[in-house]
Amino acid sequence: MSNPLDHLVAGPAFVDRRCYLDPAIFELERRHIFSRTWQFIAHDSEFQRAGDFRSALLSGEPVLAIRGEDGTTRLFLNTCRHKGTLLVEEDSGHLDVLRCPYHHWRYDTNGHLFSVPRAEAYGGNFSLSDNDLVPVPRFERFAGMWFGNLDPQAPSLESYLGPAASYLQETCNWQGEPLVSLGAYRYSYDANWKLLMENTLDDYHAEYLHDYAFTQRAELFKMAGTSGFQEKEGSRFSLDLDIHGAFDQCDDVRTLTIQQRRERRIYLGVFPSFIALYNPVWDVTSFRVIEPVSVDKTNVLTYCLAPQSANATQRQAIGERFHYSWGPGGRAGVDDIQIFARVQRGLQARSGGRVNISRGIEHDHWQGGPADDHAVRALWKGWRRYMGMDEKKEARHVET
Amino acid sequence: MLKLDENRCINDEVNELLDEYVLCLDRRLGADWLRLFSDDGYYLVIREKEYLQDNNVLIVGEDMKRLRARIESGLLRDERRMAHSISGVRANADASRATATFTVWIEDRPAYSGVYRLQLLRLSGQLRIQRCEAILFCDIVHTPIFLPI
Repeated sequence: MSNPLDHLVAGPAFVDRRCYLDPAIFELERRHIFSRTWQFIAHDSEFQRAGDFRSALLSGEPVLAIRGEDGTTRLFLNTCRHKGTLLVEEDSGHLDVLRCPYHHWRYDTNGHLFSVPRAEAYGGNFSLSDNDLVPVPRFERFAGMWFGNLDPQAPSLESYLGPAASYLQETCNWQGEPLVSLGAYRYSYDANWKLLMENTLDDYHAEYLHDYAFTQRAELFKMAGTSGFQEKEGSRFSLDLDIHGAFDQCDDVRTLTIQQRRERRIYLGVFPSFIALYNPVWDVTSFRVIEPVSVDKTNVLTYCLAPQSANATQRQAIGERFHYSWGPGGRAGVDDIQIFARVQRGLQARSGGRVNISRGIEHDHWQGGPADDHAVRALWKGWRRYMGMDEKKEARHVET
Repeated sequence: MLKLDENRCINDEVNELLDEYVLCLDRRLGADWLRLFSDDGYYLVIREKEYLQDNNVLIVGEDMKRLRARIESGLLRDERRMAHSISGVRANADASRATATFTVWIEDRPAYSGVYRLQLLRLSGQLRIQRCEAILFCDIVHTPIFLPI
């Protein structure tokens, strides 16, 4: 049987269309990338008290992060040890006890099985402690964010983040102050999961795809200029952070209508599926968790965060501003969601040539210009690394 | 779960207002739809879960200035056909509040369902919308929202 990765080109300059279209490649991504990399699970602020939980999918496997009575937050497979029933269906909330709806096996918030109806029928060798919830092999925290990993041999989270760690640290607090999650919801788009990561890291598209939205926004909010975010000379970059990438710029102070203390915009992509965003124009921080459903369907869990000290009025205002550009009703978000589906449809022309990610490839430095593809190429570097593709065989400028 | 039993009266004027609301959206009469709102009108779209949490994590939340801009850009950029069904239109005794259940089809697919919660007022004898909350009954928002729903 042929290997779907044979003769495949996945960067650095061009990418085969099959990478976005082939269900066999999607399955390999699940096995080689999503089962071995660190995936965002939850934010610290979602675990205020014992029993607070967040459920998620880790490479398609249901998992449950819950703060135990002992104060420790743990990550378990979200499945009953009896018949395998999904224990918790809700995305987030609070539970005093995890009770399986099927036969009422009950677990405490530390994951211990403590009650089985009519347990005597299992015989004398049955032990509650042999049937505790199964922990996910790795669960670590960085800058208030919890990540899980199914691979027990994976490097530590901090070493995995590598040069992205300091950017994540900066994005995920407000000038040194911790953030809290105000809420999170899911939306979907009809295209491959990688398109959102590429799009977030690609500033080249913003001026064109969102031309109308930005011009209208500038008029509406009386921002200087037409685009609404003029850059400072020499402070707008596409960053290659090994397998992670970022778009990093300082916004013009004239566009900062809400606050004027924090001008640095960072859109950070942690390989393969976590995005942390700070936008100084709206003064909002958001996370996007990319959840691949199939090769051409993706869910996105989007978080809205606020500084911990924000009062109720300020939190309400942040919640209101959060949607203006982003998400399924945001001015830029709707453009993106629609273009992803259109790209996915266009890619079906399988002999239409490889996808071009070569902008700025001649600038062999981790920091590229604002419309370069340095951050996008970093994503593909990670993709090749985890898919086990031999870097030596790659031609730097291969085109069909 | 959101309680929906606060308004119980059938009111012809409220029925007509909501009928006009969906007609304007379905026939892409954006300016006419905007005229159904008072000058201090507000329109929001939110999932039921966030609504109950009262966290204001909105999908859309616009005053009239921004709503006008959304209509302008949406009419230009979104050419999908929309068809609304509404049912259970009920108001309180003085027609200052109303609720209605809605389903919106876009092209040939069901896109959104939920409930409108309206705050109404009377201006020059006409019933107008001061606040419209479109609360979505969904786990996942599957269709992007250009134009109001």
